[in-house]
Amino acid sequence: MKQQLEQLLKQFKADITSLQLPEKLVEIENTYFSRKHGLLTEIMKEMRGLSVDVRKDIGQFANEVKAEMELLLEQTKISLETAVLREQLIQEAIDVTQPNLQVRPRATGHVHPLTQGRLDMERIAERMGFIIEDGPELESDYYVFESLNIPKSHPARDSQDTFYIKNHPEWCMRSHVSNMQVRLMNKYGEGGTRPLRAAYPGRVFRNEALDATHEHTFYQFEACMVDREITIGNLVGVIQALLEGLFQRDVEVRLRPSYFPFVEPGFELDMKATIGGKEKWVEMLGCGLMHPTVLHEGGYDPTEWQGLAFGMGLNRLVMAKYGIEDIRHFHSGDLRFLNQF
Amino acid sequence: MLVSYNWLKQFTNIEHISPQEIAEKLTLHSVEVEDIIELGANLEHVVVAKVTEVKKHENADSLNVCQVFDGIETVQIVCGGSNLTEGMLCALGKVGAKVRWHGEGDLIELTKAKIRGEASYGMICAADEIGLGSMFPKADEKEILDLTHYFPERPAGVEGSHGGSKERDNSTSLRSTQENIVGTPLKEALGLDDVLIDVENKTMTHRPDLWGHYGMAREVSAILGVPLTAYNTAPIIDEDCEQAFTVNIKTDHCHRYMAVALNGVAIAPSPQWMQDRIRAVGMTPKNNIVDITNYVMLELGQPMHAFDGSQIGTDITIRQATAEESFTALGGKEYVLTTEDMVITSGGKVVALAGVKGDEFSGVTDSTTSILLEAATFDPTSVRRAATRHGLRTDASARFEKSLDTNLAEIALRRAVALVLELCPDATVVSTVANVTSKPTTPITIELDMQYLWSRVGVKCAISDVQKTLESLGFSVTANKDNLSVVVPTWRATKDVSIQEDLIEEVARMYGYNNIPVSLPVASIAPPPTDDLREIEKKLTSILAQELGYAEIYNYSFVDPEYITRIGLPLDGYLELDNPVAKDRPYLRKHLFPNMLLNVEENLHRFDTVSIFEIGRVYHDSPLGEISSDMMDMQRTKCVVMFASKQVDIPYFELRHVLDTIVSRLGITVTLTPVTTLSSPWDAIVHPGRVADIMVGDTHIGSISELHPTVQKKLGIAHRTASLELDVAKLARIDGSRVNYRPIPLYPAVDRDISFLIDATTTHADIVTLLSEVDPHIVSVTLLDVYQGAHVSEEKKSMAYRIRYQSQEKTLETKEVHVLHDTVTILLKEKFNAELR
Repeated sequence: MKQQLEQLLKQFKADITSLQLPEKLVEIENTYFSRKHGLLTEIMKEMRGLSVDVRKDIGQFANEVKAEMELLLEQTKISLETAVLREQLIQEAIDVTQPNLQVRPRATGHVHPLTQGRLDMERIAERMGFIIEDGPELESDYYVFESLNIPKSHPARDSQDTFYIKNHPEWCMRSHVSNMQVRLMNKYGEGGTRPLRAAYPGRVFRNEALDATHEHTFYQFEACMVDREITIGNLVGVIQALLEGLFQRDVEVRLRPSYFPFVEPGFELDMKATIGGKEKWVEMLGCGLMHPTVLHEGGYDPTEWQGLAFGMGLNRLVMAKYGIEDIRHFHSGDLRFLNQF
Repeated sequence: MLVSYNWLKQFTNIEHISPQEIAEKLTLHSVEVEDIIELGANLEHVVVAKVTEVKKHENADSLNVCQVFDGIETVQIVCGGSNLTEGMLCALGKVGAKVRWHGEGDLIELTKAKIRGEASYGMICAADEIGLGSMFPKADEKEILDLTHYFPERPAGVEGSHGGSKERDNSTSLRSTQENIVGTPLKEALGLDDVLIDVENKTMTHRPDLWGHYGMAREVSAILGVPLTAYNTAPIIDEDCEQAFTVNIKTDHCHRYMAVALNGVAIAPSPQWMQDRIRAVGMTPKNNIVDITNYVMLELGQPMHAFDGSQIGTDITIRQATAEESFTALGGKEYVLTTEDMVITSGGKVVALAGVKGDEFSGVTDSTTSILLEAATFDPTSVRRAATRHGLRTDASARFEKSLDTNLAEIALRRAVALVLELCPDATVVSTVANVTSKPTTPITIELDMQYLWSRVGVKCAISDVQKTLESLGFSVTANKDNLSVVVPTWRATKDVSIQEDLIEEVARMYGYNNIPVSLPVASIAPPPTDDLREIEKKLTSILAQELGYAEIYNYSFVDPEYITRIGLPLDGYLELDNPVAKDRPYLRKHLFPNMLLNVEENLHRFDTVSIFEIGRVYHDSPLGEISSDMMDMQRTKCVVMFASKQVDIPYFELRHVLDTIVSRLGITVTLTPVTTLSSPWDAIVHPGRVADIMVGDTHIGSISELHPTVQKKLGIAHRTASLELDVAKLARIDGSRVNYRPIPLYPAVDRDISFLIDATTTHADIVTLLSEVDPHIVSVTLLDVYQGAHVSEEKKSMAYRIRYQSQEKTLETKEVHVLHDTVTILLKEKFNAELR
């Protein structure tokens, strides 16, 4: 019987090592282990007829053989399954560079580049604690000019610069977003008792003939701050922080004297930029400390409160960012342009 | 404005300071310098040459083959100059010279070339090709620089023997003649040794004092801390003169008028040094008298005018023009004046449009022997408006509109008279100086609080330094303990400096803005309130672009009335621009969709599908009464989404999907109410069977509709087009972003499908409303399919729904579901006459 078992084990080993197809493994399992006619099962059954002594001896041997066969079977099973899976995964490989063809996807949408530029600025200003607000585009000339220390005789109020409304001489299309300065001071200043920090990007209009660099409709980002202690150094500090947020790097800035009726003193702010490998000062924005008249119009006592304001054109910034060559593309409604953003 | 470095040197000691440094200092402390132009830069290998022969090029109509003598040899040059003549003197760029083609681009080195078969050994240059465009403005695009008359035919008499003006030092008074100049390097021949500082005019609109070289020199001397030469003028000696002018100022817009007459004037070219200066800063020399008036203006910023004495009476009146009064300007062009214009009259004739231009008949001519010199101060706004109104912006008007100091008129007149007497030895003053001042510029005194100055600048500068700075700019300062008493000089007092803040600016810019330490302000950290309108705009943009795949577009706020009419809309209720830039778009848009229909039409020529949206403002001609009585009530922010596609017959449903996505993201619930009766004119614009109002409760927040096929065709739009409009302000006011949370169901749901034939007029909304009220166990009703067409009679449609039954308390038994579903079936039959399929 022992010989029988040894023979069986030898046979089993031969069968299992010569195994090629994974399906055959079940056959082998059945051949040897089947409860009814399995070769090993048969021998085990025969053992019942042996004497106790012999059975004890041969039984132990039989169990060893069985354990070895089972282990071998299990190992073979695992190695075969692994091979199958590996094969399957290889076959399932796809061209990962290929777009989806099975389900037709929705077109990719596009946010207008000027909206993107505006939102970039808004996000940073918001993080710096600025209220973000929009105001009227069709506006009374009080907010566009009068409240900003721009008297009736000022050239900006001539009709070749500003769009006026027929039959409503006191209305115009705002020529800058600075119309919001006094509006916001009135809205949030609580009679000139509370500080203000606000940004107000928006659409503005100038009576200009169209060409590649001139638009009659364009976009500005302006922000202002009113508080008890504001210095020229603070103005630079705030703008620098905003520009650093926008460009995600340290920026070097400088002030140059300039003139705007609603600030005193007024400045242009330049930022150092590398253009074509050369360091250059690039004009970024106009800014200044609020003119006392403007603070007064906003309900603040100019001897107690001070303000700063700065504003920049969004079109130029966005054009520079992408290298857009013609300002007229922005309002063309041409999807060949818009689909690129 | 072009500022001559040599001219500045005349008034302040800047020998040791380069023009580049001055330009940089000016930019950082005063005004922006755009460019530095070195006159005569890159003029190596450019010589004065004589054109000896001009022949047509055989192979090119517009070219000539010229023989040019360069002083040593005669060379052949191919040239297309329109003013080429034999015998003329020209600027010859020899092989090796550097030129800028047509005055643009980079410098190109000339080489020997063959042009259409003819050899050319260089180039006959145009002024702008060798950087002399500002000195010699071209009258014609193809004009070459003609130097013939720049040099006298015979040797000139000895000049500069009397007087000793410093400007003479740089002059080449003994200039070569036409004969011996040929072959001389151009730089030497033209005496080009000046550097021009080009100042951006826009940055000095508030500084009338900087519009002349002396004022600019004062600024430079203050910045650099170098002394400024005093500008001394001697009084005009008129004691013995009998002739007198009566000056009547009959308008508020003339602040001062001065005039004096001189006889014995001989008109001739002005001396070379004066011509060089005038030409260097971009003006054209005319004759000694006209050049003197321009020279004084360029030096002091005070415009002047010279009349021919024989054309002027003994009275001068400055008044407003009468309506439609005519005026012939110097040059012969006629203008019809308005009562807003101011004129100078004499002997009943208009002789000048005040501050802008003299007339055709009273100006100086070659035969003039007596002159009347005028120096006046006019109201800036009046002059600016007149210049704009008549399209006549002159060097004079540009200066008057900056608000001039009345005291400057006197200094200028003295200077001009001195120059006339110097250049015309036989001239004499023959009248008393007429001098009427109606609105003198007076000095202003400002108290400057040092504490305040420190708090604004952020630097505690010493009181003595502040005093020194202000004094260097011409302010008179008396120092007290904590403040300064500052007298503003008249040339800064016309509008520029009037309050303490203006003085702070003066101190800070001289101190150097970039020397002020940078710091962040001390401020409150309270989180800012959010603007609901902006928030919702941001959400809409993100949903439409990022989730739904729409492209955002921007259109103008203006519309074309013709297009509005073509769509079929009436033209009432529109605001109109008083001064539209484009004549075709004078109206303020009342709707977003008209301009967007144009976008759809244009883009459908290139794309099969157009899916776009715009969020923007529309404007009304009267308050809508929804917010306050403010301007904001006249305008609304709208969002319009448009869809058209070659593959889609019913674009409406695409926008329905867009709406569903938007409202679900915003957390609001809307109902769509079919619009059954459209009022005029909308009945002709909107597809009558494809339009619905979008309601939130009782509030109308927008609509979805398809464009009427007739209008669609009329507008040339290729495919059916649908439009979704939302009132963004109303959306912003709805308390959205609420999620109706329900606990996760513990018991399974049972889905049962039902399909039936029903009257085509029955709506999905009708069915949903009915079924959702049947029993609380019906948790959802989903439309699976709608069919109309073959096998279904015309007035019917087939619909299929999936109804989900579920209980929160237990597992529904099949029997219970069966009962409920039967109820549904019966109700559909009863209410809508549905036939089960």
